[in-house]
Amino acid sequence: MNSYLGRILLVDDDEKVRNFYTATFTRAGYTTIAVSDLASMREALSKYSFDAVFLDLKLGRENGIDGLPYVLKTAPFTMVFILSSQNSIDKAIECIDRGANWYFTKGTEPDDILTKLASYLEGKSEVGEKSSVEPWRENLVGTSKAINETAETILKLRDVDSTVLILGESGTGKEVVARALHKASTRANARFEAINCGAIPENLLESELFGHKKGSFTDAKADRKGIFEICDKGTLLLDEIGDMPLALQTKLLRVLQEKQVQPVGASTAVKIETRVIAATHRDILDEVKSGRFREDLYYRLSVVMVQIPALRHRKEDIPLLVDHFLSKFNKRFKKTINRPSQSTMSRLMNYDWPGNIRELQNAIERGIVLSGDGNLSVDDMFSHLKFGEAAVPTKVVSEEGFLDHPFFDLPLTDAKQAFEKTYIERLLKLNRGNVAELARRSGRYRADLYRVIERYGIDVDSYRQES
Amino acid sequence: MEFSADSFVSKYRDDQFYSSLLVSFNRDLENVLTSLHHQMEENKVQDAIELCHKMAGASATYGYPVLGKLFERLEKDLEKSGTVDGHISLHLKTLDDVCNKITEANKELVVD
Repeated sequence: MNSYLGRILLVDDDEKVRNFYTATFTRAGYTTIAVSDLASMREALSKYSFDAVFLDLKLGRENGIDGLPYVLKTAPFTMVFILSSQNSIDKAIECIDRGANWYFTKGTEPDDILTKLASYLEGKSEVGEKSSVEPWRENLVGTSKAINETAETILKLRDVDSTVLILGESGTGKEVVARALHKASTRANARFEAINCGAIPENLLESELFGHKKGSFTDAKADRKGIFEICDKGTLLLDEIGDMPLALQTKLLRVLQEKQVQPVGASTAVKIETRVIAATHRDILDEVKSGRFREDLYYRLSVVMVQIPALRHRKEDIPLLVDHFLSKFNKRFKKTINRPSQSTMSRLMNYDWPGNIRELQNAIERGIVLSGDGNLSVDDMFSHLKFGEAAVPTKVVSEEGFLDHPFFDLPLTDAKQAFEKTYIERLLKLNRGNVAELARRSGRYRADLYRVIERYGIDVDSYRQES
Repeated sequence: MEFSADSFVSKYRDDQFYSSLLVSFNRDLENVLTSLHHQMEENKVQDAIELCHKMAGASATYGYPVLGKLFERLEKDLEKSGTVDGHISLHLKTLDDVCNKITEANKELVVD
């Protein structure tokens, strides 16, 4: 096998096809995960970062192209290749118009697929418009003091291997900063990998991180490298580190101290030179205080801390971000939607964007897709708020009434936890105990929610029985 | 319908790397045809269309472009007719013949 070249997600409902391409990609040096439907594709994308997704167009009774917007939105750094048995120029054009990078028909020589894949992955940073800014800064959009300070910190860290802890609310762009750190560093030509510690079941996470030896557990059919070893000399982003189980935190601490990993079932350790970046949306000190996160690991990870501000604290960047997304989505959807008018921009500036940049990006995308007259409409961009109002009936509470709530008499940490518990219970009640729906509405991963539910002792079944 | 002898041999036949996959593909052809016949007999057209679509892709992937085209044509004709008529049965007969010839041509293919 060649050296490790990247991670591929293959989505095809036919086992024979999955086996063939898994073998082909694995031999060439790619780690390949093969799934058979769009739900499994979404689950895989929530756990790992992929260099490329190969997507079949007809997945049983599902339409593969329906999964394309999800990949483009949640994995903007991933190349998307269609792998279809439909030999149709029109279909190929439609897929590329909708954002796919290339269209292969089944039966294409494996070597041709591998050559095209390699050329796309090598030229990844050059795909898209040429920019006047340095490549590592391309996705750090803004001129606010906060974003400039983040950029300065990245530059200061380019030649050192210190562990970095990135903090910020969901949607602020923690992975964008982690990738910028990697791209600006002397490790830029080595691998960048990201793993979501909150989305992988506890019993698999250790093997994913450190690897395993054949036979070390029931499903360990062959030796497998962990993600630390895979990106040796590169950069590893441990996303949602605040959700890592305590037992594994101890092992991670040892890896960071000794710079070596011991695969599950191995008797010897493997030396690694992986730079670790950790990220979380949680109040990590709060997690330390409550005993859910090891204090010694916190100090080891937070050698350098980068706090990414919420978008409401850097509103001066909104016009630049709007331009950035406008240009990106105009290009993707082959449209020429105009910049928003001054009054529309004022509305965008006056909103607090609790979902941060991700929410703004979605709003612009929605505005472009739904625009019928070449302009962005406020109604289209904010339609998700109307949907929320309709979907979750809420009582109208005056500001005075709201401030009278008992939460405000509690210490901040307790108030946050009390709110979190009430919030989850309310949504469970509305959704009759449907955790998948809870995950969708709260914008959190299911695995993450199950841990929170367990922490608060919430009985999900009782909500199901109520219905 | 006449096919050249090359049609029954995968282009990966001499590639050791794919040999075990190819053996398994060839072995499974008989099961696929049995399923297809059952679906036709029970007029389960949608199931037959899905199976033909899968096999069109898989056959092309495993280096059998002619077989892939035959499955693709059957898929299209089933979509068009919406039922199993004489024309479809004829297609199926051709597929049976080609699959038998593939099995025959690959008899000695074994995994090292």
